[in-house]
Amino acid sequence: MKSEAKESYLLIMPLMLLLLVFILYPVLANVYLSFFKWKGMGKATFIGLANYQAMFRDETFWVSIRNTLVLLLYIPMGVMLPILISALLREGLKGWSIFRAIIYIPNILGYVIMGMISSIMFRKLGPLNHVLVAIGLEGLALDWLSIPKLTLNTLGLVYGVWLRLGFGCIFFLAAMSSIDESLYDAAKIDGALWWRTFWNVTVPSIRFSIEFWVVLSFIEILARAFPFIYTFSRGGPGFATFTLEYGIYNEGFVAFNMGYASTWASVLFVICAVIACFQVALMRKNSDVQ
Amino acid sequence: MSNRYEKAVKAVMYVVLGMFAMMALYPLFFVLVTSLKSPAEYVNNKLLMPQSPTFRNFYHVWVKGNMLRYFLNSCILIPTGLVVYLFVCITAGFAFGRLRFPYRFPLFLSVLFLMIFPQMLLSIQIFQICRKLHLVNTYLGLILVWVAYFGPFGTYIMTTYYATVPMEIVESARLDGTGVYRMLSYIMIPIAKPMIIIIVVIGTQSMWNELPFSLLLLQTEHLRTITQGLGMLKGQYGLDDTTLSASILSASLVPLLLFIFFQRQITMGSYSGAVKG
Amino acid sequence: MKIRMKVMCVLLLLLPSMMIWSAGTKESAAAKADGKAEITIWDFKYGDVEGVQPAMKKIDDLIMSQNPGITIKHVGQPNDNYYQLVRAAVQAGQGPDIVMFHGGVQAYEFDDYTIAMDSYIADWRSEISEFSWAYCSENGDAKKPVHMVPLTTQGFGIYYNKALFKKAGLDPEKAPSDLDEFMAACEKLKKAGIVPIVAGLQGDPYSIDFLFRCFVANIYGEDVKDLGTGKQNFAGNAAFKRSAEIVKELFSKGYMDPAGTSTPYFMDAANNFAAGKGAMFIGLLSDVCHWKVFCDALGIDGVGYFPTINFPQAKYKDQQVGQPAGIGYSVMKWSKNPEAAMKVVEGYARGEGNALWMGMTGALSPNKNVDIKSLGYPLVAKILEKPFVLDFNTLLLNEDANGNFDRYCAQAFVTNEISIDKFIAVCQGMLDNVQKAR
Repeated sequence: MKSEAKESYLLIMPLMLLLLVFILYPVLANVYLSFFKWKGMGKATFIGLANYQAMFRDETFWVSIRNTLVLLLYIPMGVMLPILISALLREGLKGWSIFRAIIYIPNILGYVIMGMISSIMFRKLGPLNHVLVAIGLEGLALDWLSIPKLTLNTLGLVYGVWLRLGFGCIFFLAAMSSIDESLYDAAKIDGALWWRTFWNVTVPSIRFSIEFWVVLSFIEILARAFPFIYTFSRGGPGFATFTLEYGIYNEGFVAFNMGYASTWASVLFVICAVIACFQVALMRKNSDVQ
Repeated sequence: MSNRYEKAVKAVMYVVLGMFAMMALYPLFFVLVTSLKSPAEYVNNKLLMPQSPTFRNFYHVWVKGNMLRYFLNSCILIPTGLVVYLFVCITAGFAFGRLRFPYRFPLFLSVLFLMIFPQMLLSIQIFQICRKLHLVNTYLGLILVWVAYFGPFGTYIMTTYYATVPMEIVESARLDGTGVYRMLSYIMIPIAKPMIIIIVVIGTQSMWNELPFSLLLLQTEHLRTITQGLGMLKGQYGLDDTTLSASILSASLVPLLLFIFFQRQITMGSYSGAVKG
Repeated sequence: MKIRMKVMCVLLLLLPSMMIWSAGTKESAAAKADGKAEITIWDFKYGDVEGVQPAMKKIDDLIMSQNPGITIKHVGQPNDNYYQLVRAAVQAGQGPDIVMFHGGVQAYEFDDYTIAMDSYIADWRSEISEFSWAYCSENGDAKKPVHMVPLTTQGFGIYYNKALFKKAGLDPEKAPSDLDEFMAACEKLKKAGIVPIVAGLQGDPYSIDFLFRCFVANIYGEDVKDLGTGKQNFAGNAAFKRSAEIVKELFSKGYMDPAGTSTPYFMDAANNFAAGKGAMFIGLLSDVCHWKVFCDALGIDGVGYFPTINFPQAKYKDQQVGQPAGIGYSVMKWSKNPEAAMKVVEGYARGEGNALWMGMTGALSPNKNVDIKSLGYPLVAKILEKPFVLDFNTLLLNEDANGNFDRYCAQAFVTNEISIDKFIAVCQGMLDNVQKAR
């Protein structure tokens, strides 16, 4: 087995080396930087915990935490909806593969482009409201981008739920395709209605996929949302869609308070680490990789 | 009675799903229609079909914006990057998925753990590192950074795929006393053939649209990618919606085409990771 | 077998082509060996392929023809990440010879890395006002050396559509001279079914931001500088509070275009005004959203202008707010050819190059020798009659000037999340940040 071990290390070395240099080191350097004051050039002065103290006193920081938490509230919907739709599609609706393809299109366009498009779509005088008025739902034609709570929730809905629907459907459809059909037959014999079958058969069978998707959702909202938020609303109006990730960008690349930005980043790092631990627990249950 | 019930439910489902489909298609349609309007027309006619369609916006993006050069740059850079990406993902994926060695599980976990970090956190330090290694303004530097950043996800997919490969194939190859490199070309790659197309598509989509790292590492005109070029077009004051739409369509051209051609493979791709467990 | 061959072929094709493609970066080293000076310029305006780039290309050619020993390599960088790149270059200790900066705080941060220009500009220093030179000196201190050559001055003011004024029964040649007249004019316009003020409020509500700059000029006049030293404040200033109330009134009475929240300032709002969709517009004296665009659209005599709204509590009247330098060029200390670099900068800042610059881009040049009349827009000459009062925005820290102030405006007037008193408090906070940073 020794030669197999040597071979293995050789095989994984390119990846590990790259990760060490370009990912691990920057992350650690970031944490280190959070104890300094640095403007992106010139000297870095050591200031101990001063950044952390300033951060916990910073109103904007708490606003960003609050906004991030609100976005996280959309994860349940972002999980249930694709599962539901996938389960429905499996019933054999005509054209389901076309539907699956079409709903993936927002994923292809990417976050930046979808952010730009959304910032045009959701204007008070934009296409969405135009359609709503045309079909008689004038009461719903609100100013989506200028009322703070509305903008934040629109962000949650569009980014947390809608944008991920495409990949979600594909993901869960694949997961469900491996469910043993005999379970369904058994349920039918018992005379179960669709809804009960869904909860008692479908959902438990894809438990691990659901857990994986939940963890992925956390990561997407905490650490991948910035490109979308930047093009969608610039963290505004005011500070309405200003998340922790956006704050890191703002402090680091607008104010160029690098040390301070690293402090915010450390908080994000801790939150992500906690999520990662959950992912680890998930992986441990996954017998294949054991 | 259950038949009517079922039919009604099905009808509702069709309607709802149809609505979703339209919601997914509409933005694309809107962008297409807007890109054909002149700015003057757009001021007055924001939502309806263009009265006097024009290709002026595309001219602005492609000819004046020097987009052709950037497009060619991307066309050269991405396939080269994909080669490295594939190499790394296949080798590491095979090792994690199929071979046994000490610390395999913790190492794999650490790979996944490092997948979490946003690009922003990493940008500045990565630039410093590349500077010290003289990799700034080189495609090599950018490709290494890309593979480091997108590699974990690709490795994860390959790992879960290789984990499904029956042991017999690997065992029989070992009996022949093959070394690593022969294993690579005769075993790993052929086995992975179905997945390669998926990794290629995912990798292309990631690299094509990537912006923060390319911005920092490619600072000269003749090296820029198309995504950077479109970012440059935006300038200090933003773009007119019409030109913006033309640039959006131009940027999405390749990913969209890739998707249409390889649709079946992509949708099968997320198979792995979902099925296990 | 076949797959291996294919892969080999692909690799063989790609790797060398990649080498050739990226080999371009080696150019610059070779050029120096010729004995010519190659000057690299970094620019965030070069990406504007419609307006600025053609002008710069022409000016570069002109400079090169006048100075045969110089080759200019002009590199455009994306605007959003510009300073990130410049800082990265500074950190690396190498980069372009000439760097474009925004005047004010953003330039001062790089004082340690840009050369002092006094000896190079001595010959033609008088062509630009000392007001501008002071602004371009180390930390804005007139007693310190100059570190940047200004290429533009910028300002803010209110344009109005004369035809629409006439339609509402207002005298098109007479701009509203005080608050009461302004409000009355808005009321008349509204009654005539015309949008009184075209506003751009989506994203960053620049219409509000710029209006405040005009107000502050009237409130503090030449004492605006003291906002940066702490001698003057927003808090406790009755006139400043009154100006905030005026803005609130403009919204509550519907004078600010209600469709403004669906309109980004750049460029939609400006385009709307140019298309005649509203009577007034809080616009710029810059290379966009300005007299050239509006006069071209609405007719040379179709556009009127007034610098600000006069109101009783403000100490001053009719002040024209401006930045003595909007953008400018600095030469970096690591440049191997500072003399040549200065020649290039000079080529942009004066003489034929400068005339080209102003003529083609419509930017206002701070050079006194530029013949404004030759531009053919009488409106500009009228605007430039008055001297500028410093824009308070130039005194703020980066993140406040380019982000936070707009957010506060949105919170106070667009979303009504914060009260006027809170708005004044956070604005004062911005001034306090400047003091804390000293």
